Amino acid sequence: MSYQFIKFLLAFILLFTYFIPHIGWFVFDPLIIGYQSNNIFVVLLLFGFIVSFLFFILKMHLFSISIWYLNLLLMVLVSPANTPNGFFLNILIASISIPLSFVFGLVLALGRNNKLCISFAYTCRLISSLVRGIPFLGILFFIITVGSKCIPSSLEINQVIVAWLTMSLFAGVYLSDIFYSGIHAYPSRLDESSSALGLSAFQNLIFLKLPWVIQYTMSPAINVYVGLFKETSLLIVLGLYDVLGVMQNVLININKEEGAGIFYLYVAMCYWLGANSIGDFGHWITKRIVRNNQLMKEPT
Amino acid sequence: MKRWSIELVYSIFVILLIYSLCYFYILNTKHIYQPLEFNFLFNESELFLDNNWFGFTPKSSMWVLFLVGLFNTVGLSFVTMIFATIIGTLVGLMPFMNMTKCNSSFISVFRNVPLFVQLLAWYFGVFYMLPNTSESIHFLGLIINIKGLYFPSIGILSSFIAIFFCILSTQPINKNLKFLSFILLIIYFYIYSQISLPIYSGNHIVGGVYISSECLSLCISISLFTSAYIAEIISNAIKVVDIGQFDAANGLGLSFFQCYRYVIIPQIFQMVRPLLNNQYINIIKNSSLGALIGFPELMGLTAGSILSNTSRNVEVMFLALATYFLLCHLMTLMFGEKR
Repeated sequence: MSYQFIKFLLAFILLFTYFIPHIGWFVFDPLIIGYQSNNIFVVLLLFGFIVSFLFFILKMHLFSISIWYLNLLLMVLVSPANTPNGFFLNILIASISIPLSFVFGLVLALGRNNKLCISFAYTCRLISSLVRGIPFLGILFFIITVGSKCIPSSLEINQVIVAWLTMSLFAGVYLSDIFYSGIHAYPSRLDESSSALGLSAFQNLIFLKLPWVIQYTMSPAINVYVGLFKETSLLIVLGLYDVLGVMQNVLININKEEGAGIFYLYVAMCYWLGANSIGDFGHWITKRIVRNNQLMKEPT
Repeated sequence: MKRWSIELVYSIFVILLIYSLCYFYILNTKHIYQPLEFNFLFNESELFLDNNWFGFTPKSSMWVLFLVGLFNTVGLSFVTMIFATIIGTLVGLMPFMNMTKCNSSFISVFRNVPLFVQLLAWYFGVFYMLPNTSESIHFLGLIINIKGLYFPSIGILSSFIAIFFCILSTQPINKNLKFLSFILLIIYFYIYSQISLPIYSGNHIVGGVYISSECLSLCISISLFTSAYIAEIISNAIKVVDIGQFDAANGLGLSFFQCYRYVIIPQIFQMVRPLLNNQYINIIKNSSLGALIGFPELMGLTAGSILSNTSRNVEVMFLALATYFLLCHLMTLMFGEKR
């Protein structure tokens, strides 16, 4: 039993059981998961997960990922009454906001120096310089105090959606800086070869530049994703009960002699496993990129 | 022509968005609507705050409360920066002392667990479990209990300044500063040498320096969290240094610490400076977590106390966020990459 194997086993049990909450229901305490819904909804979600897994086996990755993502969004949008609690909420918000933060980051990085619409470029620079200077807690407080009054009062938006958009914007700003530096590192020989082939600027961007930039900046981007996963612990401010919030609720009635350390150890272990498995995935994918990709290698 | 049309459409869209946001904000806050102004900062606060260094009373005005928060944030982040840099450098040197396992486990534990969890674990798991005031622990003149730490004061500020000058004087360029620092050290110790010991007076403890448990848990958790990042930066920067430099230092007969102090770290300092600046900005931003455990922080005092007393959302949030933005910008100007 090596260290790697034990870690893998623990991560597998935790992540897999939490990802399909209806298995986790029997394995863990319902208090920690706290996800209640009607039977039709459960069957629908399970069906969606199975379909996405089937597409994954058939190597149709785009279909698989899109169905999985829609399934997660469905979980949030369809049942605003039963918002999930516990560690499942952390994984849910992290997994729906990582793809959106990627999109935000690409848009902000490409828009920063564009010649097409200069006012949009100024907006991108303003957003990225403003958001980088203030803490995440400040943004959450701003949304609670000011942002919640800037929408029509008849609209009732689920807090999970607010958290989704906020976290993806916050991580997207940091990602945009990474992608921007990646675009600067793009070698001119690839630009020249694409123009020699007769590709337009847009085709160059889509087929050559963006794949190169995304692969080149994979490891710093993974760092931002790990940070995003860790920042889901602050969502207690929005009134969402993640694993830490549930623990705080448990600890209200605790005696002083019993000690609160073991509860926080459990929470820390959950976060450690999640963050470490994202980091291991990053190591694996960067090794794979360096081994397989011809464009990453310098010409001899 | 085409370009101008795109600009026009985009700017109209942005103006409509901002207009609608303002419209709904005014519509929703019609019953408490007041014009934007900062005059409320000069009103009486009627708030009670204990253990502040500004002499804040319920009769003093709001901007004093803001200043208390700013001072606490800056002081806490400055102390935390020093601790984080020291611990981070020590942990970053571990792989070169055959302690790779120790280094990697420290980094893995303190970097992969979120700061808020670490903070709550220190606050509720360690400092909340200490005994009450009547049964407090006495240890080498220190008094430790649930409220925090009391220790005898020997001119804290003076010793910090003296240490700063001592560090400056060890630079080979600033040899003249050694004499100056020695004189300043003597003067500061002379001025601030009123040693006061913490003593019981009834149920309370009077005298000495008091550091609350919130402040202690914030300081410990942030410095450990950031030192993991700094250790990673420093150990990777040392790996970049040419191996001939190590051989040259060995050939001169320098010891391990002399080698790193006089040969390696001066070389990597310019390289790691922007990265350290990034971590210091993260410290300033992370210190806002003190609002969630009740430390009188800039964020906690403005977005908590002032806002709940005045119900002026926009002005107070603008003050808090703009102050954090300016602090981060100042940090970059002072320590960041020179262009």
